[in-house]
Order: sequence, then C-alpha cells, then structure tokens
Amino acid sequence: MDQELIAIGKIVRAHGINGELVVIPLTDFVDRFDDLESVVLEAPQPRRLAVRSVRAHKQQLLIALETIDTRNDAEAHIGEFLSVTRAELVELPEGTLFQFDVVGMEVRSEDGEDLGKIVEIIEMPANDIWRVEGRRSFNLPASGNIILKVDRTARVVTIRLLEGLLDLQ
Amino acid sequence: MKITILTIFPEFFESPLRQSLLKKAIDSGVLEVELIDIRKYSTNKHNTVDDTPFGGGGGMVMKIEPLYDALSTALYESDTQNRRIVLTSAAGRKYDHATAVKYSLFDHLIVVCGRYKGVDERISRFFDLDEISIGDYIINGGETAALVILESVFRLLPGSIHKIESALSDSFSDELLGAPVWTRPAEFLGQRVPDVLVEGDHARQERFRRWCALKRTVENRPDLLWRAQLSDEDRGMLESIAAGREFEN
Repeated sequence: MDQELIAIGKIVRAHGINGELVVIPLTDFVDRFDDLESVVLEAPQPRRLAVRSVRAHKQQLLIALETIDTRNDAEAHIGEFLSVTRAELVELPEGTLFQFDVVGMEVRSEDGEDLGKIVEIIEMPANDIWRVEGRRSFNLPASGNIILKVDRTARVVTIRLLEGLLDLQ
Repeated sequence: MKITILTIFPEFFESPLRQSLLKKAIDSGVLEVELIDIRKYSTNKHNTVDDTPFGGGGGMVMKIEPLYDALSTALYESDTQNRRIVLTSAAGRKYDHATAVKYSLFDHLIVVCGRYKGVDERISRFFDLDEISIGDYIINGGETAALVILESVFRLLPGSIHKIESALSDSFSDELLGAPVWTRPAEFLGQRVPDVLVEGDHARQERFRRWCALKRTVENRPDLLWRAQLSDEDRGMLESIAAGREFEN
C-alpha cells in the first residue's frame, strides 16, 4: 500500500529546448508544487526524479526534472503522470477526505446492517453519488441528510436508510 | 477486458481509439478493442446489409444473414463465457451508470451497432441480446451509442483511471445545485460581477450564494428541493424567489 502511487500532475507537452515539461495539475492543492523536491515517473518503470524547477504557466505548470534535458527527452514523456506516494500526500485540511480513500469504505445502516462497499465516486451537480456494491448495489447520494458519519480509521460510512434509497440503482 | 464492436463503419472508431485515456488503456493491455465490419459478411455481390421491411413502412432494416454470421464469428472466437452481447437500439432499455458498472465486470462485451430503422427481429431468437438505448433522441446510427458504452465501461476498469490527489468535504452538500461562480476580471464587456461578491461582507456573500443556489435549484432541478434540508431562512428566500424579487439583504 505504501508504494501505491497517486498522480498529482500529467505531462501534456514539451516546452522550449531544455527539457521542460508542461504539466496539468491533478490535485486540489496546486501550491504543493512550490516546494516539491521529487516526483515519481511511472513509465516504463517507476523511478524517482528530483525536481529542478517549477514555474506557473497560465493554468499549467512548467516543470524541469533531472535527467530530462532536451526537448526530445521531454517529448518522450508526454501523456505520463507525475506521482507521489501516500506518505507524500498533502496534509488534508480539517473536515476533508481524499476521494480515493472514500472508495473501498464499507457502508452500514444506523442499525449496523452491512450494505456493501463504495466502488466509485461520481461527481454530480447537486451532490456526489457514491456507487455502492454489495448484496444489493445502489447509488448513494453523498448528502447531509443521508450520510450520518464517516469513520476514517475504521473505514466505515454510516447512513440513514431512507425509504427507497436502495432502489436508486 | 475485450470489447468487440460490430459495425458497418469500423473507421468511425479509429480516431477515438487513438486518443488519450482510451489509447492508454489499450496500450497497457487493460482493454482490447476489436472491430468487426458487418459488411464483410454480406452474402451478395453488392455488399448490401439492409433491405426494405416486410409489410411496408418507411426506412431500411438491417438484414439478418450478415449480422448472424458476424456475431457467430465473434462468439466463436470469444475465449470466455463471461460475456454479454449488446445491441444499440432506439427501442432499447435506457443505458445508465449502473449498467456500465455491470458491463465492466464481463470479460468480453460484444456491441452491435444498430443502423437504419432497426435490425431484423429474428436476431434475438439466436442470440441473447441486451437492447440498449442511450437516450430518447435520434442519432444516425448505433456507432455513437457504442462509443458512449465503450467510454463509460472502460473508465470503470481497474488501472485505466489514475488515483489523483483530490479531496472532498466530509460535511455533505444538502442537495441544492451549486451557486454560480465568477472570477477576474470584475468587468468584462460591460458585464460586472455581482457587487456583493466584490465587497468584503462575508456573511452577506454567504447569504447571496445560498440565494443563488436556491434560485438555480428552483429553476433547473425543482425535484431536488423536496429532499433538501431547508432552514427557515431558506424558506424565506424561496418565497421571495417565487415572488420574482432580486437578492436584497
């Protein structure tokens, strides 16, 4: 689990002739790039590269990594992800969760009935939908009058089993 | 996972299969896509795959012989029993996320792109088919629908979408649509950002956002209101929205 990689950026283009990469941030915490010391490039096999420089460029970032020195080098990495390990994730502000941590949590009713596991988060305009798979599979609206408690340590979500909720297929 | 698409326009899929995440999934072996040209199984010299319907009526019907042969070939070459055949059809059951999740669990999904007015009904006598419609509107053919199915299924496959460092709040929204948002510049071609957002009164800004969220929900998704948690202040706002008044407070 500790070696699990979480993407924080995606390389979309090469910039200039010195191997700079144009990167789209894939994180809600863009400032984290300011003091980023190294990242993991995943392909062809995961390896850690030191970050030489980071600068902002419109909505994107220009990042220089060690060993990537020419435009050709940079172009070879288009489409790849810049990742970090779990230990390097940003510290979450109070009252927030990582989306990927919610995936896999167990869902229980107030009475302790096991309803299944969250397999996916679907972002919707009103509230997110958590797809739950279990004995029955259903779409759980992540809304304040349904989600009663999220226990991060036990990885359990307790919900109010409103009538008809399990029929939201 | 393998997805086989039976179509009379295999070239339709060339570009989408070469783009971004789909390409990545295919390159990494998470997904295999096979295209079968139904026209190659046509039994006459003009390669026709359609004919006029028995009993009259407009439009053309997809013939059964080429489709039968193409589907039989796809099944013969399928190396798993954990598979499903889908026929895109305006008359089918409505496609949704739950169906996409179900399909993503098969090892082999075979999608037949319907065309013309429909497919000779007898095809369902020979094959167990899910007839699927992506919505209540007319499109030229099942290719677009097949692409929708392909994209919605492949992104559920493990390894095709990366975990990314994004967070969500653990105080959950209350079923209203989000308030509209603005960013700089404060004025664009004479259109100004609402004054309340530029002035520094945060409590008032909060009420303004709530007002906007309520108004938007009333206008676009009134069905969400019945289960929303509304305060007395919300109810007051709703009354004044219903009366057509502007935000004042």
